[in-house]
Amino acid sequence: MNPEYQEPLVNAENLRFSAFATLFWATLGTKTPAERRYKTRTCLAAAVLICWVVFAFLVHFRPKPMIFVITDLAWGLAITYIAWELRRYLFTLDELARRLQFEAMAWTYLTGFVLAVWLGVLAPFSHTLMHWPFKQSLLLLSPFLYFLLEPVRAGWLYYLSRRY
Amino acid sequence: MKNRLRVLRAEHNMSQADLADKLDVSRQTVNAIETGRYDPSLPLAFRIASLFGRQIEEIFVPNGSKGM
Repeated sequence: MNPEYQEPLVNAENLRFSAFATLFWATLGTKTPAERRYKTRTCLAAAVLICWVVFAFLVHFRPKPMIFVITDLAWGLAITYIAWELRRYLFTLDELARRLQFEAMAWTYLTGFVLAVWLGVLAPFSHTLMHWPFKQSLLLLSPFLYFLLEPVRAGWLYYLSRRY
Repeated sequence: MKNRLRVLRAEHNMSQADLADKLDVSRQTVNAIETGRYDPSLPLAFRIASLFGRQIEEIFVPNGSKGM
């Protein structure tokens, strides 16, 4: 080792991925241009969406079908755009950050799946045994809907596996 | 996997940030490799070896091997 070399003083916390960026933005906080672009565009998309929802709420007293249609469409477009920007951001990551992101997604999927199944299992129990009111709208959270994701995931897996 | 990255970096008077810039990875990745918490991919290991003008096996040694 070079005896003249002195390791720069670095706060031990700085050696880890930023906790705030990881928890708040889910971006690991490496401060790259790609990360800044992702944050900026995500905020813009969210701001446009919120502005529209507020506007739609204000005109709610005079409901027009077109307002509801555009609001639904705005949600879909905003979420799709954010997903597209997330995809672009993921492809700029170095190998460790990308591995962490994809591992997190895999665990999120698994967690959501298990929670949804338990929600579906517990809802009829609470209705039958505890006599809690059973709302039909809760069926929208049916865990069986999550199974619809499985063929999609299988399709993606097939498509991606063709590269190797 | 054990490695001599920290030693080589010191020999070349490089900070983790300098090395990260040259390898086009984050400083956290360099730190994770140095501390043995993350094993780099083969392409990254080749880039590291090329940067220091060494063979991969001179820098990275499997756990349990002698010589590091």
